[in-house]
Amino acid sequence: MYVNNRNNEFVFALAGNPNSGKTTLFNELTGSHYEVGNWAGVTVERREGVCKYVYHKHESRLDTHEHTSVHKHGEIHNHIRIIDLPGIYSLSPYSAEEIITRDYIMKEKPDLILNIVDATNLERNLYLTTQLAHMGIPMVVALNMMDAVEKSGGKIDRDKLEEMLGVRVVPISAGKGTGIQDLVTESLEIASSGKLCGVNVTFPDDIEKAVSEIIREEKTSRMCAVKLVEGENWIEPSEETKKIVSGLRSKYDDISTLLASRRFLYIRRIVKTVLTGMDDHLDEMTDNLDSLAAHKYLGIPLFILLMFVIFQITFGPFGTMLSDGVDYLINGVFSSFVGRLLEFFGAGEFSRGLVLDGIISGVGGVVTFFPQIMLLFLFLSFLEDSGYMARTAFIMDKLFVKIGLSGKSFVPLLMGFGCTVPAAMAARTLDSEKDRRLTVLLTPFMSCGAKMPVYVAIAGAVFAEKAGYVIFGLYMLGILLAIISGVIFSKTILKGEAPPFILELPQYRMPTLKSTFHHMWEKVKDFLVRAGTVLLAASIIIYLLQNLTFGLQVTNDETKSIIGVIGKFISPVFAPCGFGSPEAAISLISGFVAKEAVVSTMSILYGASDLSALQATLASQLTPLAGLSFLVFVLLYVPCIAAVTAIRSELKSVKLTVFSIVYQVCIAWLMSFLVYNIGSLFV
Amino acid sequence: MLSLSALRDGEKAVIVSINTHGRLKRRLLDMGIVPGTEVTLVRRAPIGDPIEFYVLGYRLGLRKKDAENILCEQGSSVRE
Ligand SMILES: Nc1nc2c(ncn2[C@@H]2O[C@H](COP(=O)(O)OP(=O)(O)OP(=O)(O)O)[C@@H](O)[C@H]2O)c(=O)[nH]1
Ligand SMILES: [Mg+2]
Repeated sequence: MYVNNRNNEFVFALAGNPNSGKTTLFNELTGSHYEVGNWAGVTVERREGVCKYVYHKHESRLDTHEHTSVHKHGEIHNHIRIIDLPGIYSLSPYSAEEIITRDYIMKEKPDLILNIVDATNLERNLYLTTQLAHMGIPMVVALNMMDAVEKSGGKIDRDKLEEMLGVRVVPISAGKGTGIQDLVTESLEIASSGKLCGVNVTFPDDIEKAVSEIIREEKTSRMCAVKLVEGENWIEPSEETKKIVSGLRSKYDDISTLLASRRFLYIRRIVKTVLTGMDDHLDEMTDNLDSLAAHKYLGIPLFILLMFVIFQITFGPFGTMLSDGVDYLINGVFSSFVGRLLEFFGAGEFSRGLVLDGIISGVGGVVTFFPQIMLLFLFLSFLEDSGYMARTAFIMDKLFVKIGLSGKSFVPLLMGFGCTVPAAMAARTLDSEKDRRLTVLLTPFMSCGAKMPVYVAIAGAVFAEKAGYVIFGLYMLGILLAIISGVIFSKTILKGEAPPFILELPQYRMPTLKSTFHHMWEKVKDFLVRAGTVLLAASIIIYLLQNLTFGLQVTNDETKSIIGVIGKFISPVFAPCGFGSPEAAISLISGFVAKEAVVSTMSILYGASDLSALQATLASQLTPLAGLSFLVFVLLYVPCIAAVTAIRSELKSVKLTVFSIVYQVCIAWLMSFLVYNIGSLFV
Repeated sequence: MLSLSALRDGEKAVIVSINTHGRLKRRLLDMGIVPGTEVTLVRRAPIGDPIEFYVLGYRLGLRKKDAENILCEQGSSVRE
């Protein structure tokens, strides 16, 4: 036996139901750290990685071992490419991300389908297995979550399952990392033999006959032929095929229901034989938690309470204390150390300024808020890993239908409090194009984590101990305007019926401390990387523009500097909103690069050495009302460039993207204007 | 026969027919809502909609108006 694949490299595609552990396995196989979460629809795009197990031909066998281990000399090892895909319930895709999976399997033809089956839920998961098996591609079933099955006292007769399904089955636990090497070894064996799965489910004779004829006629896979019979044309059928299909359809009035029932009947028989010791009962922990989380009256108040607690911890005394600590370390200890170091090496005034007043003050001004951002992401990660996310979609659906959305939109919108980019992408899981676009258009209203430093710095400066309330109010204002905009959009530019709501509610899982921290770290890392790259660059540029004239002369006169001139030119636009200073205008513009840059730019422009110095300057520059108006503008105006790019690619429309930008700017200006001018009447 | 949405909390039934069309029907079939499947109504969300069902060992949320189009027979099935 030997390899008949392209360039001696195998391609294995991970396919399975949503939430069955595909990405967990992918991360385990490739050593990556992609997002895993306890709800259906975490992965919304295709990802590739190289398997850490390599193989080489060893006499007649293919041997696998970890790439890092010592090689027997002279042997060439070969790689396996792993593809992670969004979860699907069947091969008839329903939402945008499911199409990606179906198309990949159908068109790209991997060497092997690794079908991940959640062993705690065989009946539903095996339905897809009966379909994948007939795609004309070798397949292995990875029976995942075996740890959970064993914990609840269940046993699965693997040999029997293999025999009945006609597919190789390997028990694993992706979460615990057990059975993985066996899985790779067995998969290689199947892939290199090119052996296809046997027929499993059979249909009534006349349907079987039609299917065989179509397979011959179209030279296609059994699955494709079955779908043609059901009236789902994966390929353009020939006249002959059309005749066979219409002949069959005149005999049966509902072939799809018949075939699906047959599959489930067949699966029920298998599960009855192979599975023992697991009673068909609702998981008790999930039931107890849900009787609170999804309660008729308590569900929504509990959610609001939970959000409030998260908010209090992040923005209250605890979070603030942590940030003050970091502020002291960076702007106090580190900055003076670097200052002395530069002096010691005799650095000139300009380069000292660039490092201290540009880079450290700019980047440091933002990194200060690192602990608070970490807390926020820690809570979000916990919500995602526990299984609560799907519940929020469930309890909010009725309200969301009223504003023209579906409860499922709630998950992307919640993610928007972290970052708008994944939030816009998560909208792919929604069931209709209209819902997707509407949700994407509303994500910028969910105040993202990067805006947090701006709120804390400015609200802290002008509102002192009342800052917490003001920030809470900002988040609420964002949500309120999202609701109003949602209603307006769904009645004007994005009309249409609310699509049906079909949502799986996964079992709760207690996330381990390790996995939650890991998950949080993956999110926080982006923030740190951005501080080290985009913010660093922006800080240097801002410092240079502040200290150079258009003739590239070094200047200390701010009004002559490039920034001074530009700022003075734009600032009148914001004067009616109460913050007509050039510094405010420039900060807002640099906020387009990254929202944290608003703070770093201010630190540089005001020459503030640390957070308290910045806040003192701000307090003298802005009245509380002007500060509030500025914050409202930051909350609402165009998201950063990365977010706009994501929004554009999810909306798939330049026109709508431009609309979104214009809408956000207009509404931001209008709201700040109203806040400042109506507020002035009272103050 | 009655519709799924007419079940009481905790009540069991067996699906008889699915009277919807197109994409929604396809999806329901693919998620195991086929004639002969046993379903339990678990609970209703705030304001009575959507409704959570227990089916084939997992939990499924459906809107009332979609559940109304699925007919069932009370009691548990003689699972062959
Ligand atoms: N107990 C247990 N849990 C697991 C195992 N593998 C994965 N999980 C959990 O299952 C959940 C889903 O895992 P993912 O890897 O995100 O699943 P997925 O199939 O990629 O999901 P989608 O991307 O939404 O299709 C997570 O909460 C994991 O922690 C396992 O072997 N045992
Ligand atoms: Mg995934």
